[in-house]
Amino acid sequence: MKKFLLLSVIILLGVAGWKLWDTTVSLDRQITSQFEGARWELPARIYGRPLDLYAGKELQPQQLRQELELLGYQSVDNTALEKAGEYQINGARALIHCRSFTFSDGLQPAAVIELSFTGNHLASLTDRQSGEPLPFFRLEPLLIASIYPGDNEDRLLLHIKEVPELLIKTLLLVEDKSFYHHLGVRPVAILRALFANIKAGRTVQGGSTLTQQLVKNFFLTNKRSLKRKAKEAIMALLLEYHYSKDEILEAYLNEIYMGQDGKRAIHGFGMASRFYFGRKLDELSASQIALLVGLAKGASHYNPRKHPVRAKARRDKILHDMADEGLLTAATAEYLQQKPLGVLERIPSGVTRYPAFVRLVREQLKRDYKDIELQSRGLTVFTTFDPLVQQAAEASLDNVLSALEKERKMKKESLQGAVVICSVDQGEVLAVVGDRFTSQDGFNRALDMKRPLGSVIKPAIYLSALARPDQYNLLSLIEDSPLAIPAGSKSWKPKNYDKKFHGQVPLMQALVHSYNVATVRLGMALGLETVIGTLHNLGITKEIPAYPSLLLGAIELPPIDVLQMYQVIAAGGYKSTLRAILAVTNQDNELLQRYPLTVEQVVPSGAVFCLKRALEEVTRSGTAASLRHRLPRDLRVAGKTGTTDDLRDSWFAGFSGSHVTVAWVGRDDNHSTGLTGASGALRVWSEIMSTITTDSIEDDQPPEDIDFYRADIRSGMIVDNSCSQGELVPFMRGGILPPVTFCGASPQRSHTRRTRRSQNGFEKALEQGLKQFMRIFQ
Amino acid sequence: MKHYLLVSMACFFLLAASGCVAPRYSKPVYRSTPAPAPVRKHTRRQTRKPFEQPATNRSVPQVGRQQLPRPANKAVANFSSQADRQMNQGKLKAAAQTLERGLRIAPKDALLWSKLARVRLLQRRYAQARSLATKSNSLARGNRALVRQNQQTIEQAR
Repeated sequence: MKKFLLLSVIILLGVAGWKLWDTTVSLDRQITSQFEGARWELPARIYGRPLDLYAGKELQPQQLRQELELLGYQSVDNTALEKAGEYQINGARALIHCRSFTFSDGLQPAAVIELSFTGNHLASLTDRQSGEPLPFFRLEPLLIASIYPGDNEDRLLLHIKEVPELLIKTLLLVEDKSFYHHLGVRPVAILRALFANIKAGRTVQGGSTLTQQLVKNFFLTNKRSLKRKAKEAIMALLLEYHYSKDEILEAYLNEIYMGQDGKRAIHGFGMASRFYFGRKLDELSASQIALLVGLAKGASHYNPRKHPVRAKARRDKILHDMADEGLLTAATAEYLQQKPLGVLERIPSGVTRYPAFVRLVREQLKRDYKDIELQSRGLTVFTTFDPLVQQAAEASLDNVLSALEKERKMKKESLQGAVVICSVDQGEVLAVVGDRFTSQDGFNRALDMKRPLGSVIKPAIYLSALARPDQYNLLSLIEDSPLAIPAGSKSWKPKNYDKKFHGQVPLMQALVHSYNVATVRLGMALGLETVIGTLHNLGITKEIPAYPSLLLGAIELPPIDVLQMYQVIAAGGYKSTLRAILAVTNQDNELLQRYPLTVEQVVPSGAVFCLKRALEEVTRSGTAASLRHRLPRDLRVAGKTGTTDDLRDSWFAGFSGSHVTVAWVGRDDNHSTGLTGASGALRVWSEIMSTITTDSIEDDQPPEDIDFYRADIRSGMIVDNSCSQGELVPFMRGGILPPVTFCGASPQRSHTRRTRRSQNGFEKALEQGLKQFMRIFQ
Repeated sequence: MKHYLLVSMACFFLLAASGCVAPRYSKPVYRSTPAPAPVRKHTRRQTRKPFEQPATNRSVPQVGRQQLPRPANKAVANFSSQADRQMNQGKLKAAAQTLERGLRIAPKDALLWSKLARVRLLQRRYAQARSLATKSNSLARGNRALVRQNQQTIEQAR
């Protein structure tokens, strides 16, 4: 009997021991597999362009301030600028303590830079420490969006070396004094806590070490049970066995729950610092560190935004303890206790403020990355986004639409609009506005809306003509007279906007004044296929049906496609496929992919050169002449208005020397707005272009095959050299030329035509004769 | 006899061409300031296909870089020389990135475009090398050395 009892006890102990062993082994496996490698799913971060700083750059102090405020820099009174993220702008001088940032081409360390301005230019740029002038400096780019993992945890991963010493000391002081000495659990502390809790009848004391807290957060659920507590202790011991103290501390600093923003859960001190103070962790003051450390005990309970009194009491107690421990002087602690919490009132939103641009980025990312990669790998996406241009576009669109509604007594908020902007020579998309109410991430009119183009399409037709220099030039006369094109049983009779016909008009004038009938005649003479070919060359990828109404823009495209078309024209026939992304790096800042600049010549440069001359004339004397008093005097631009039937769509597409901008105004219900391209979209366009820093259209270097002649662009004739009147007009060398008029002689159309014909006939005869001549000698 | 007739006809045409037709057009009037003054009286007849951008070879005062405010040149020059170093070290991707940064500041700088063309050539991205060199030519404003360099790139990239 006695033996039997002993045997049972041994077996029982054996079973229990085996069970414990088994549990431990399985927990061990769980720990090592989960703790190794990628511990967290890290959101992808999308950044805009960095603001380039260099002497000579066109930049006003106000624009610099705008950029710094977006980046969350704090304006300070003193010139010490102790912490990164502080700046001072004083008249024409500025001091910035720039944060460090890892770009796709490497780290740019933090630095204090001194800037001086003269007028609208940055005059000098100096590194304060060395006193040396800097040839170039980049401000850190603006974080414009994050792509969160499924669990919506948001964190900024920190390396232990990046964490201020004061924070670590304070954390250990408050949460686990003997962290560097225990083995993961402190049995004495547990017993003491147990005793205190039993005595009080509720939980008043916790005996958990940091390691146990990490285990609880990282591996286990929040359920309270003895079994879970036991598991926690075993896992804490195992964790300590496998990993160093610093590794455990680092994981704790990144794992701990620090707050909530809607669905987004804020984890770790790195993100918490941004979330509460808009700063990087190493920029925090002692009182801010005390507040964050206080949150570790219970981020909801001590939420400084919801329960500021509670949070302040907690912070002040920690400041007091810090002084006791010698981390601060008593006087400093007392001084800091008087200070307010200093928490940002406006939560730096985890939801992007620029949903329209981010949509474009995600569309381009989709080609190379799966959703899961974007949500979990901590990728950094560098984009071409320019926050200053974007803000100008957003504000201009809303201002102009509100003004239009008021002026024309329309219902408030009945108009909608879209704007897209890119750089001329690189096709880098700088801004996308897909909705007048910009924060709405709904229907993106810039990318998804398909609307008829109206006259915005016309440059493609004129370009097709100019690409045939043996038939057309800018002054070729084309017929603007009644026209009927058979369409089934009926016929299509295009009309001009002014309901008049203008007889024979020089090609350039037909475009400048947007004459419909002349354009249709020209397009039909060229052939629809030719025009469609040009549209494809200009970057329109979708299939285009060959209907004559195409010539007046009866093709529906989103503004972004129009942007590509005009980019090619603005860049002199060189297409750069529109890009929103420049590079993607991984969590370790290694370059995964670059999206390089590409150029391809898709239309003859001579023809584009001539077309640009006509499009500039549109803004001087044509349908967009109102730009003359809307834009700064010396800013030369080119572009084209577009209006569709019943004034449903109002377009303006055009460019300066550095920016291509397309604006659309209309209504979502597709009713008439009563606006032409010139009275609607053009106003949005001009307001944007006069707000942003942009270059004038330079006198481009004419292509080799261009000659200039002085000409009267209204009559369409070259003027004799002795005349002082006339303007310089480009012509393709070797192409046909218009007749010459002599000074004093008033240009007469009928006379002109006769001369033209006879000359052309004569030239042909001459050429044939010469060919014959050459053949003799062959 | 027939030949004689044709030759005299051709001569007549030639005379007519020089005597009657030419004076009807006054000589091309070029822009004088600020930039392009493509003064070249004797031109070969164009034989190139229209979609090809011919290399220019004009005696035009060089503008472009000079048009930038002086200090901006420094930033551009800085990128330019940095890209040279990277190219010499065989860091072609980095060189391309540097040149793109330079082009963001000075998008009309023919030299930067030319160097980018060179990088693409070394990366064996021939079509891009040709396009970029052509683009550089279109901005070269008569910088003969640069045009020659671009022409070389184009030829090597064929």
